[in-house]
Amino acid sequence: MTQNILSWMTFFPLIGIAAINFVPSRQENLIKWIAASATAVPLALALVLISAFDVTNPGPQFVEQFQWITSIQAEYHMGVDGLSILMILLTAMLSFLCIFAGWNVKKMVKGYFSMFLLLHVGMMGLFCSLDFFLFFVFWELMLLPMYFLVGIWGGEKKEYAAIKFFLYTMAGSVLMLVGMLALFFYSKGPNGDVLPTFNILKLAQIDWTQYKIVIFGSELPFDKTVWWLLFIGFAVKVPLFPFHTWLPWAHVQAPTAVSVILAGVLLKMGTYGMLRLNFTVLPQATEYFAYTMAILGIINIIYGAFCAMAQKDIKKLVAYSSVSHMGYCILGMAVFTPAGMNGAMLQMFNHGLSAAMMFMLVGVLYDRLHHRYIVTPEGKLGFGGIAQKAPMITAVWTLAVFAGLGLPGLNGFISESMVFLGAFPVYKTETIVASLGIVLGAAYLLWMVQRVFLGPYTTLHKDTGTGVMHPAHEIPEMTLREWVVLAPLGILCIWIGVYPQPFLDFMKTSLGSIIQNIVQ
Amino acid sequence: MESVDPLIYTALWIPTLPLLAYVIQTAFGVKLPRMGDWLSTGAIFASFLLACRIFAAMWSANDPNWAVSHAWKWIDVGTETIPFKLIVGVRLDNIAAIMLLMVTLCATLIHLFSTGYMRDHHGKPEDGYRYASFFSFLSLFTASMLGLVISDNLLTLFMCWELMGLCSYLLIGFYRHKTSAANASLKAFMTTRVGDTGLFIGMLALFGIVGSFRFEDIYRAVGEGALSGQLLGFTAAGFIGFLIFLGTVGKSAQFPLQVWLPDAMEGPTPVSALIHAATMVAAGVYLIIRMFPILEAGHVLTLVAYVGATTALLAAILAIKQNDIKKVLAYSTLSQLGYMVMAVGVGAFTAAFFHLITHAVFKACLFMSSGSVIYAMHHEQDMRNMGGLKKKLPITFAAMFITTLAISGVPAFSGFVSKDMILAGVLGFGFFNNPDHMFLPIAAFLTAGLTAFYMFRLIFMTFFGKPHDHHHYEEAHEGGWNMWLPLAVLAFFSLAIFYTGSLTGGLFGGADKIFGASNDWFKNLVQVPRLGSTLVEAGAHGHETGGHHGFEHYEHLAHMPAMILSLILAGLGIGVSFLVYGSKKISSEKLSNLWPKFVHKLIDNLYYFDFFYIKIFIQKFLMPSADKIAKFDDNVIDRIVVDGWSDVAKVGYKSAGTFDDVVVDGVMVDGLGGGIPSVFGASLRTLQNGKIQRYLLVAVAALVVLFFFRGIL
Amino acid sequence: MSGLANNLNVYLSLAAIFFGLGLLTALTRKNSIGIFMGVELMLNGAGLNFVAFNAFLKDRSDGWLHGQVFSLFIIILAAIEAAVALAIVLRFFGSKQTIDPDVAVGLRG
Repeated sequence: MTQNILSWMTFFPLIGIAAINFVPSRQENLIKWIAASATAVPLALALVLISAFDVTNPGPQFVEQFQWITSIQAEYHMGVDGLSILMILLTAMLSFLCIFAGWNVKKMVKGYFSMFLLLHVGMMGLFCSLDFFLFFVFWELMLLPMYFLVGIWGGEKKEYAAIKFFLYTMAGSVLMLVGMLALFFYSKGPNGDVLPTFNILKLAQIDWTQYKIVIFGSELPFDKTVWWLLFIGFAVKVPLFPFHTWLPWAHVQAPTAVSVILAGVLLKMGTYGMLRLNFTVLPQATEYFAYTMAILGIINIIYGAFCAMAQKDIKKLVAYSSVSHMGYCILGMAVFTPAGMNGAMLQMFNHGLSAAMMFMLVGVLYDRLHHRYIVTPEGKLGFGGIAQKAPMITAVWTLAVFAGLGLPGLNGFISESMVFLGAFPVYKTETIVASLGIVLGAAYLLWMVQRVFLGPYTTLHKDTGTGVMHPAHEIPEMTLREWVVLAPLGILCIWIGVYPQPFLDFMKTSLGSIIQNIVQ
Repeated sequence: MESVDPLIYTALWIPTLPLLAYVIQTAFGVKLPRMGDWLSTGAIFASFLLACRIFAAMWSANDPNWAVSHAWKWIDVGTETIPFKLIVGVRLDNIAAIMLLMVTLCATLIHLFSTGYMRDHHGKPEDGYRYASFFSFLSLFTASMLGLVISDNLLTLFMCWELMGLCSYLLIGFYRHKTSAANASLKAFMTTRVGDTGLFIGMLALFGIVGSFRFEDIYRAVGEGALSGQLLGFTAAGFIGFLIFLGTVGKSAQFPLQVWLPDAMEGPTPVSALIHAATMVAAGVYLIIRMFPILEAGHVLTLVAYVGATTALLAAILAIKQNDIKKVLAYSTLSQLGYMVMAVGVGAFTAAFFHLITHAVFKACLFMSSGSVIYAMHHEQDMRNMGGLKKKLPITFAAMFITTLAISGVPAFSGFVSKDMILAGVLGFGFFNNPDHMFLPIAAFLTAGLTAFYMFRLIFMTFFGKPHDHHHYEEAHEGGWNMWLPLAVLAFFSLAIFYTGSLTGGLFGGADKIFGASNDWFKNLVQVPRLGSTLVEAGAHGHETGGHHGFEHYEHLAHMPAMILSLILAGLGIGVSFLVYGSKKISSEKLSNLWPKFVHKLIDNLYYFDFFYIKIFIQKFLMPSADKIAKFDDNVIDRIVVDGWSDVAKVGYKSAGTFDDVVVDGVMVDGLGGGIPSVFGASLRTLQNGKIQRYLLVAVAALVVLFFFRGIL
Repeated sequence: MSGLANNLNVYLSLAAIFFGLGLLTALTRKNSIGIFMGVELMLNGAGLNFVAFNAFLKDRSDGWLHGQVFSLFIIILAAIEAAVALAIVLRFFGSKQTIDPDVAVGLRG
């Protein structure tokens, strides 16, 4: 089975989709359990992969390579290296947990879980593919189920959010497509002596600085132009300022499980794509634009934090905190030091854990109280004093919040301080400005905790039928299902916070070779 | 693998035991008998025994440079060419060993005291788990402090430092149904976080230069002059030293970040004892003691001294007007911390650490005594409602009286010895050495007098005179043994004899040692850290004192005058206090009317710091700018980038429509035929009436017309 | 074949009559079903033309039966169209309680 483990992992959920569609739609529990097992298998395979992974090898492992579309030299080329292994684990784990987070979906259960599994295929395939064309196919494949998941099962403004998400990502993919084609056609060499290719490993061996590209009559350096095309395509997904405004909408309107996947996995695709393509294929251009990237990252950190501070919707606050936290990834990637790069990669994983926890916990509150207002439109506190009624929910919230704001002993601290340690020697003033984000991050998160969980008990409950807010008398504690979803994430948060080396071991060899490539 | 000194493992167990207690308490605390308070208390007591073991090792070594350390690799992600390694470990030296003993002793007694004080929360079903979580937080707090003390590097020190911030957040906000408690905890966390960020940046810069966080490497780098380069327009050492000091300013509540500490009194009283005596605020001073070589090399010590002196004086003035018994102690803590920081600033390294230890002991006792009073008075904290409690609470009174003598600087008590050393150092620095810095000794001696005054005011108002609230007075009684025993133990350790005397001359030395002798064990064992192989040499990187040897010279010169002055001032403070609050010979109103109104206003508003931070900075600047940025995000970025395209499209079709109306319609058509368009439009309109048969008819007609024309052509 | 049946014009005239009647019906009936009948009639008129031309021009068509096949297609399409149209009419009746096409003015400009 290890022969085709990546294909099995990627495409197993398709079997689940087929099975789900043979089940009558009223047997909702059966559908849910099929979906759970269809994601459990990839999770198990991901764990097998983790245990069999050779951490000393910087190149791809478990490679599967076949001719696919011979007329355009596209290959079915899958493989895992240090960049993708943790992302695969994250995807498999979050997808499995999110099946349970979406357990109480009422509307079109069959369609929901089919879409969810299709999304799983897209995400997993993206992280496994080593062929740009295949990468692009999975990138687009993910878009469709995500559009429907937001647009059908979302909140009150779901259509707007879904179309916004779709348009943004499509605009990004168009640029990426152009960049991809440019790389493809130029990869055949000036004399056409070799066949053009989409193979990322082969693309990485070409010296792109030798080419020029003519656009509107002006001659531009090829590698820098293509770098920007790809970078903007990925920046939309990260999301980098100023392409981030789809994120609050999509996160807020999406159902809980989808928000978790959005924050936990989809945002990482942007940074992963940058590492996989911009950094690997176009190292010279990456070095050239490093400072721009760092500045963009810092803008994200500070800007996202300020926006989060002003939010009155708890889910929107968490969404903007994602913007801020992804800024650390970009900053860390832009410095090409081992500390910065490893920190950025770990931050991707960590943000996947802590943001996922926070979105799930927003869902926990929403399921009970049917609203998300920290401050209602009338200016009253929507929550308040929840700690008195539901100490367990409060405790888990506190854990997630402190993981997010980078408390030592929890995962966020490790990655953020590694990013800063890597960034400071390179960009001193800029890093000092970025460290404002630490203070602001603590400010908006703890201010939220204070207004939601502490103080006198003033929590309101929104009647789903009439939309009237009235005081909530009881808040039920965490259910077993919610514990099952949140406990693994919490444990990982603490584990990485205390002893991160096993996680860093996976990535450091591959990242080291990228750094060598860029810095040499 | 080099062999590891077994003491290292002993040291590792010291924070681990309370940490384990925290984990067990969090998971199963509610299910344990007595909610597991014995578990936390037992764990910290075991740590205390281990700390005694380490202290004994240090004692028998009797060497100012005694140190045991061992380090492990924690994170390593370096490549062949660019290394990146984080090495963390344990370091035991004289400072750490003394700190460990002090922290574990105070923490054990505070835990024990809490089993009595917090009993209100025991057994009530709705609050039952709170008792368990109180002890779990207390354990985590202690574990963090102990972890901080045994750290051999800035990184784990910083981690424990931040964890203490978390614990203070949780414990200050322990009465979480109170808005004031929630506000106070947020304020404490955020204010310290501001300082911590400074410290963090300083650490980044330090790591960038030294490549390690270990104290040994840092000292060596300072000794080799690695920090003498430029960094962002400053000298590296100055830049780093200033930022590290910012951490202390936040954590030890120094001017201008002192605002959180008085509010932190919202927490339960044992927490106040823990935060304000043994752990959190002590950590700030501990940090600058550890980082003394950098501060010295960076010439920031003068700044440190001024910040400390300002804090000491301002806080002492505030303490005079407080009526809340805990607030008095809070401001006195601030003031004493200012003393320690000032001592570091003038180079009185040993004195600062000495005062840190003695202050921790007597302040823990003072806080717990006040807790005992509050407990006896059913959570009444206003001193104006107390009085005459001497008879009702004899043990508390005795303990509090002894420790008040200690803090006021009365001979034979610990505070006298340590304070005397500080005052001598300050006088030597600011009067004999650098007359420019006269502010420092003036502030220090004024504070000494004020401290004696307000502390005795507290004693007189609380324990003497007539009871004001008879109902509570009648019911007042001592708590159980678990509440008075800690007081007694700590009061006992507030005697000077434990800190004086040389090792060779036996623990208690001669009688003269009580008056601050020169060859105390403490003074011998706690000395400025070695930089590599040599001590800080005078003039080399030294600051204005002319290096440490110069400092010792002036300190010696200032010793006698300082002692005499401080005795006079302490006596004066106690005397005035007795006349005003004890025998009531002087009316307190008259005394306060001596001062102009604006002084009172300034004091009542705490010098307008809160006003500036909260009303101006946060409410007028930070929140509105956050709102503005969020609005900018919604209305500008969002519009321009996506929704904006629909606007572009709208503009497009609107302009096309205008073109149609104005140019095509207005000029071409109207200009040609005036009324034709309207007729045309109307007839076309009637065509499109939605009726299928009409459409069909039109189609047929059109066909006919086409055929007709085809026939013509 | 002889006489009347041998003359192409006869077939074409008949087809034209069919078509004209169908068109008239489609344009004038106040009943949707009637309109469809008219449309059927028009289609059949056209189909008749195809068959007739194919029959009379067979020596030029190399034995191919294009016209017949075409008219078969028309019959099939007409059947389908009728089915769809009837379904629409039923739905329309369901919502408006009438099948007068003048009521269906949703496309009015």
